[in-house]
Amino acid sequence: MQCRDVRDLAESFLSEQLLVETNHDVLRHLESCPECRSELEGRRLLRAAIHRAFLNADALRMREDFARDIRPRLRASRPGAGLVSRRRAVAAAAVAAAAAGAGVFLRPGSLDAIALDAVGDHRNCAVRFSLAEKPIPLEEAARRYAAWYGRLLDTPLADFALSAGPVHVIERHACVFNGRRFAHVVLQFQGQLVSLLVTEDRPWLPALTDRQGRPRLTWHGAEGFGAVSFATSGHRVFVVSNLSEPELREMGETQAGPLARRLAGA
Amino acid sequence: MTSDRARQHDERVWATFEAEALPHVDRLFRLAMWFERDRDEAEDLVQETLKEALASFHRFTAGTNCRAWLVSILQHIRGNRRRARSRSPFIADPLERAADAVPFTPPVPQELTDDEVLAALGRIPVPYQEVIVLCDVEEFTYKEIAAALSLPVGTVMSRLHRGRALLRRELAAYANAVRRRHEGL
Repeated sequence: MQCRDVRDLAESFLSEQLLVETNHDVLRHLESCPECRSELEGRRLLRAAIHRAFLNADALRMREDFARDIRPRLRASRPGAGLVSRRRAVAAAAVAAAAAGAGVFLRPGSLDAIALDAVGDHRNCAVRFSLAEKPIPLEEAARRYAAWYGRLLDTPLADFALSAGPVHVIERHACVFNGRRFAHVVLQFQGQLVSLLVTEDRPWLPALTDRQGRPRLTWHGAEGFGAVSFATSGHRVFVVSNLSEPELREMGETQAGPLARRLAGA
Repeated sequence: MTSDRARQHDERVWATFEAEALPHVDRLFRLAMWFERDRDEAEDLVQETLKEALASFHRFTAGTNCRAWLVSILQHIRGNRRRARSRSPFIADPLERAADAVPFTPPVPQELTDDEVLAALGRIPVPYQEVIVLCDVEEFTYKEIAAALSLPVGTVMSRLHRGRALLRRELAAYANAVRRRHEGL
């Protein structure tokens, strides 16, 4: 093992995340290399300094009243009672008012940043081709970010039918809008572009389903486009277009089951 | 009877949550305060994080790292708030390339105060601060950092490498400035 290898592995060595054999190789090198020993000692000291500084900093300490109140406030918040600070409630009201003023029309409870990002992605990627970052193939996204991107390569199928006619897949890729990464399947239905968008969301929450165990659909209307969405465990799925609500709902209902199963790894 | 049983279940969940999650509030707050730089925002963020965690505590796997789980929720909420605040498109960090070219500089932490170390950390771009803090302060594994920040493990490792190079450059610059001051006297 050369000095260069040890420097490359230094972080993992100090974090005790090397395989046993590699760890031994590093230790063997250190026995005979004072420069690398000094380098690693320097790194170890820096890490310790950051740890100590962070945990000692008075500026980062909780206020006593917050520390005292958080437990009873959380306890009182169960089950389902709102625990929204006055500050956030005012902010939420302001967002809702601004959204209404801008012509954004969303069902109560469904106004969220992710839905707006999905509509923005449809408008800027599928319709205007004006994203800041070039889309990449789903295969590449699966390699670079998460395996689930690859599951959109075969779901939905290349062609499927709604009551009013066939739907064709015209492109599949991964793209970024407003910092949020989506798997994006561009569809065509009756001459209109439709975006099926999947993004990661709160993996610690369960999927939202109806009594039959089917994903529960939510309707959003925003900025001249409509969208239906549903949540699986770890993902939000949107179907966005300027189609009518019944058409988008039918498309959502058709695809919700297969997509939820596919995203779960089936 | 049923409501009694539900209440008992609720109390059991609360007791477990209290034992598993609430001991981490101080560390969680320090993280929130570091990144938000605003006490009200940090308190709001921690409160929302704990509320989300309590509501979905059945999803937490007993025996795993509860602080890492809480931090992943906190980072997710933080990310959503940041996106909601700033509608600007994501632009790759232009410093990444510069960080690659940072030459080796010996660190000098033993000569610095805690405030100086934190000031240097605060001067490097936030994506690098995030991984360094989660690695050095929270002592999370790369896998836990990757989960908390929704990043591939490889990106965590490369950001750590680049972030440390930038941090060392900041610290070296500070040490040089101090030395020049002494020499000038």
